[in-house]
Amino acid sequence: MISDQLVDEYLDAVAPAWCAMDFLTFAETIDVFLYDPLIALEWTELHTLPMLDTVAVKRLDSRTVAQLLHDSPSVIRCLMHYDILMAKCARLGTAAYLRIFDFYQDVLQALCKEDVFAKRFRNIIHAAEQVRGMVGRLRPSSPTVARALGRLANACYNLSYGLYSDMNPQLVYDNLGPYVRPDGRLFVLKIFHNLKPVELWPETASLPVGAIDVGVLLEGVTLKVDAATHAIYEGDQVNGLRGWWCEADGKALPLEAIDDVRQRLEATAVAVYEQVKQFNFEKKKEFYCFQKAWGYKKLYDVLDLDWRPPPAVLAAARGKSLFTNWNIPEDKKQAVTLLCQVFDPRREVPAEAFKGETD
Amino acid sequence: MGAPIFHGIGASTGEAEGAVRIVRSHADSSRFQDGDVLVTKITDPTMVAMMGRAAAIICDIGSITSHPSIVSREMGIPCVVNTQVATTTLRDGQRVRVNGSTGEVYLI
Repeated sequence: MISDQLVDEYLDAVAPAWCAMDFLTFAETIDVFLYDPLIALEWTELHTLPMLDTVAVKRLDSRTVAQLLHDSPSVIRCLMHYDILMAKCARLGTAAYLRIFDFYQDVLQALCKEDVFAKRFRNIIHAAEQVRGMVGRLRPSSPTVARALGRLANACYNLSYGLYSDMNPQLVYDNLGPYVRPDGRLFVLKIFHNLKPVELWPETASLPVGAIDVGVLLEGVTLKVDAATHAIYEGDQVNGLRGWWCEADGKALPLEAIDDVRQRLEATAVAVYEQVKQFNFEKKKEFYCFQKAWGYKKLYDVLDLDWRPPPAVLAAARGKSLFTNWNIPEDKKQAVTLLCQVFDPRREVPAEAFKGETD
Repeated sequence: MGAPIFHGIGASTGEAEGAVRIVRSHADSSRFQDGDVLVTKITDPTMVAMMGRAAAIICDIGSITSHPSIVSREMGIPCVVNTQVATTTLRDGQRVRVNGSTGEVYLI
C-alpha cells in the first residue's frame, strides 16, 4: 500500500525541481514534455510495463535493479519521473501510475540511505563506514588540483549532454552526498560513469576511460542535489578543496594524467554533439528514443529483453510535430501546483494542464 | 565602476574580469583566448573547451540549474545567466567585470 505521505513527499521534490529549470534552454535540443507525449502509450505498454512484469517474473530484488540502473539515485529518479509522466500522458489509469511509482520508489528505498526523492536535497547512498573509508584515501589538495578537477567535471558533463541528450546528463554525472564530517566539512563523491556507450556512439570505444570517480573534501561549501539531478554548490570549490582522490575504471588517476583524459573527453563531446546538431527533426526524435532506452540497457540485458526502443515506439513519433499543447503557467507557484498534479500517480493529468481543454 | 550594464541570475559565485568573446559555436574556438569571458545565448557541448578556459560565463537564458551554471560551479568561475541581452548588448573585445554572486555585469 502506497501511502499518501510517500506520494506527497515525491511531489514536493519533483515539481519544484522541474519548475526551477528554464525550458527555453531546450529549444534547440530535446524537451521531455514536448517529445515524450508522442510515444507515451507505446513506450508505457511496450517498454515500461513489460520491464516491471519481467522484473517480477525473474524475481530481481530492488537492490539488484538499482545496481543495474547505474547505482545512481539521480538516474533512477529521472527514469521514475519520465515513466510516470508518459504513463499519465497515455491515460492508462491510476493503477498503472501507482504500479510504476511503487516500482521506482522501492528501488530508491533499496539504494538511498535517506531522502529517497531528494526532497531535502540529499543524495545519500553510502553508510558511515564507507564514507570513512573514502575520506581515509584523500590526498592533499591545492587550487591547481581543484581547477583540474573542475575542468574534468566540465568535460564529462558536456560529454554526457552530447552522448545522451539534454534530458539525461545524469547517466554520466551524479554527486553523492553531501556527507557532512564531524568537523563540518563536506565529503562528496562525484561520479562520471557510462562514458563509452558504444551502442549509441561507436567512436567512444577509443576513449581512454569508461568511468571516473572523484572524492572531494570541501570546506566552506554546501551542496544540494535536487530531484531532477541538479547539483547546486554554494561556496568556493577551488579554494575550499581540502582533499581529493580520482580513479578511472577503478585505478588511481594521478593529477598529471587528468588533463590528457580531459582533453580526450572534450574532443569527443564536440565530435558527438556536432553530429547531433546535423540531425534533421526525424533523426533527432528517433535517436532521442535510443538515447532514452540506453539508460535501461544493463537492466534489460539481465532481463533478456531487447534494450532498443520497439519499432512501434519509433513509429509513434515518426512524422509527428512536437507536443506543444501544455499549458504550464508562467507564475512559478502556479506551475509547481500544476506539476504536482501532472506527476501525481493518484490522479489523471488535469484538463487545465493542456491548452483548450476544460473539465 | 558605475552602474552595471545589465544583470541576470548569479549562478556561480565570485568575480572575474576579462575580454568579451561572443560565442555561437565551436567555430569560435580559434578566436577564444584563455581568460576571455564567454558570452552566448546558452552553452552547448561544442563549447566545452572554451568553457574550461573562460574566466566567466554569461548567457542570455538559463537558470541556476542550467548546464553553464552547473559546470561553472564545478570550475569555480563566475556565471550569470538569464540576462536576456548579453549577446546583443556586448561586443567582442570589450572588457567586463562579472559578479556571479549578484548577477551584475559591468563594463570596465
